[in-house]
Amino acid sequence: MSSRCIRFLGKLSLALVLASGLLMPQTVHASESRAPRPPLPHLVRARLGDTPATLAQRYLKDASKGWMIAEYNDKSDFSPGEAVLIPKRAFRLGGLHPDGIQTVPVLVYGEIGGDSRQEQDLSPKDFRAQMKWLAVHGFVALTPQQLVDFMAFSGQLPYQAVLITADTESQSFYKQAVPTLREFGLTATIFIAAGKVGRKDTMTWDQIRQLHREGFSIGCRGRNGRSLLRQKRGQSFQANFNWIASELHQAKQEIEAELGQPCRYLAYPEGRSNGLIAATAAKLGFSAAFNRLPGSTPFFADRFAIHRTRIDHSMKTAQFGKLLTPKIAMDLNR
Amino acid sequence: MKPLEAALAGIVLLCLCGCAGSFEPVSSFFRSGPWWQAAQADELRVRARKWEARNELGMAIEHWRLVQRITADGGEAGREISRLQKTIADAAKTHYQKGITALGKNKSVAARNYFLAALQVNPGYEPALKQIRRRFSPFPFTVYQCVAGDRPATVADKMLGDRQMAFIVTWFNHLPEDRDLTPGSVLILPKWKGTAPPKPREKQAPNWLAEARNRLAENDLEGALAVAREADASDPDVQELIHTLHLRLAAQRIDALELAEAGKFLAAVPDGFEGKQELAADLVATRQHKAVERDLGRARELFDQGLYAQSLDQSEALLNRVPDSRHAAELAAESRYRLALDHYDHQRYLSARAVLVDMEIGHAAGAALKETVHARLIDLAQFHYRNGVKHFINEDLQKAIAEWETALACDPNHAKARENIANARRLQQKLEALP
Repeated sequence: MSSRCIRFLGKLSLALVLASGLLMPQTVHASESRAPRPPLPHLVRARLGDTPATLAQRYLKDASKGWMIAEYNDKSDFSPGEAVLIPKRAFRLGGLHPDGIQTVPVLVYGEIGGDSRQEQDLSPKDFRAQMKWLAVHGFVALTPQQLVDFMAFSGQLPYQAVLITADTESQSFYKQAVPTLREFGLTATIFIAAGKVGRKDTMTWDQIRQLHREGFSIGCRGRNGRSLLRQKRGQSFQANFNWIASELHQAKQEIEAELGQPCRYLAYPEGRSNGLIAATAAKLGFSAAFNRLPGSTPFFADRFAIHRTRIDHSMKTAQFGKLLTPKIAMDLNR
Repeated sequence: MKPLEAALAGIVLLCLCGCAGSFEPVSSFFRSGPWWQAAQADELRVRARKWEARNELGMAIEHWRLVQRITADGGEAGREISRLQKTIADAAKTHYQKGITALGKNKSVAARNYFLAALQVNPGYEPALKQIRRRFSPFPFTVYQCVAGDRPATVADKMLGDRQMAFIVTWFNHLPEDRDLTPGSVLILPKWKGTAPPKPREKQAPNWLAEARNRLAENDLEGALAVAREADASDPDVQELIHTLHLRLAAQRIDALELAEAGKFLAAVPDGFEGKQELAADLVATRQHKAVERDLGRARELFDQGLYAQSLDQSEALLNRVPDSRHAAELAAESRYRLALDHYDHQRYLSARAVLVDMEIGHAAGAALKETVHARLIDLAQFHYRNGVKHFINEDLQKAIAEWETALACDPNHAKARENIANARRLQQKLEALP
């Protein structure tokens, strides 16, 4: 009896030692320092068939964050059993790399496949080719909030990121461009002139609400889409300023009432503005505003004068690809 | 006692379940738990050093922290973390100081880049972020602190250059227009010099040249060119900037081996413009280099397909054009060796020897094959020599001469074969001369 008892006690001790051994390596340093530290990445073991997207879905609960895992591990193919690090926070704020900084291209489209032959028109075929190019080359279409977070130095963007915007509320965009964006899983920001919605050949509020539910961002392009730099003949400067403020305020309120959410992004009508209009937009509660000057955006750019490159029928797919080639601009004096 | 042990095992298992939360994490715990994690420490050390080599010190530190967590012995990781923390702190401070110095010299682009470099090594370095925000990240507002006697009109006069702009001061600060302002209170105002109201239908001409130069300073060449094209093309400064941009774009395209594009940009620059001649020479050299690379690629393809004769021809043709191409020489030697080996394997020893005549001296396998082929040909020469003798004994001079000629072909130094051929031919002539 006593020998059995001794054997039992021996097995119990062994079990306890094993259990403590299991837990020890993770806890041994836990009490070293009580100072708050950034969360460490999660070390996991890849399973058969794992991709950055499946890992992101499993550990970050968001498959679209697969790029973070790929960039953190500096690879996108994982073999079963391989050690993979899951980052718990942004690790390249502001897109700062040792060789320079990331700049984000913002594209602006006009009418897609409309009847008019305006300069900014683009055929649905060309638009589809460009969206396909983005999808094939692994570009991630951003929301304006992601761009704002990036510019606030609190967020990180994938290396291949693009913000797709459209200055239109036309029915042809809804019918010709939106299905293409859906097909390639891309999102876009549509800047609408609130006063034009529901008119002939334009989208209805129901359609805009549907786009909003689907994840498209809806921004404001003033009430009538007319340049805010225009001043009527004989109009005083004060009356002109009141018109600008009212044009922006009414459009913002109308969109917010229809969508039930704050409208935070403005595209200056006709892409033109000045310091007073920018300040007025900021005062009215817009988080960012976009013009139509070409160029891409570093994190420290003016949030109320974000440049957008106009894409029209004159741009061939090869040029488009060149425009979108991710680049690390600037020599950081190293 | 056995039921008791089983119960104990169950308790231990339940404890582990409790630690982990559910059965899925339990399986994960056993699959990739602390044992497995500890075994990854070496891999993480390698990754940490790789990030450090790339100058991504923050990433390197995170990896070392992870190593420290998963291993019982955190001594090495602790030392690395301390070292990297010091490196980061020193680098951020140095970059920041250089930025401040550059600001003092009015070199704003250089200053901005130093501050960005400080933030790159340490994103939490607040002084650098503040400098970037304050000096390089425009925001549409400015602030004004009121002094005694201030009213909206006086503030508008001081800040916007026109008393009539008082309505702007009141609108932005929700103030009545005629109120005295409390000294010390802070007003927000648009960062806009509204000295005069914009006139109707009068466009404010943007300073395209300055904007283009800013883009150039940021290395945004396409953007700078697009903006510069909006500027007055008759302005010599604009023309010079456009030519400079064309040159820079051409150089960029040459680096990217997009030579057709580079040629277009270069063609847009007038002859004699500083830097064009050098870049044109560079383009020609790059084109040649690219042609060589292309031909070498084709030769390699042929080699990979086992077409060694064609691969040899291509690489030798390339060597004639570019005698100092090491890759072409290596490919030619390897093609020659493989071709000779192919002949040897198919018992075409004479062909193998012909190919190996020009074999490079330094090619060890080729030299060995050359010796083997030579030895085989000597043996063959002897074989054919003996056959010739047999035919001679049987008085078949024609066949004997043929065999000795084959022997001589195999071994040109075979003196007896040469001598016998001469003797046999003389004998043949005598026999033919007999009536």
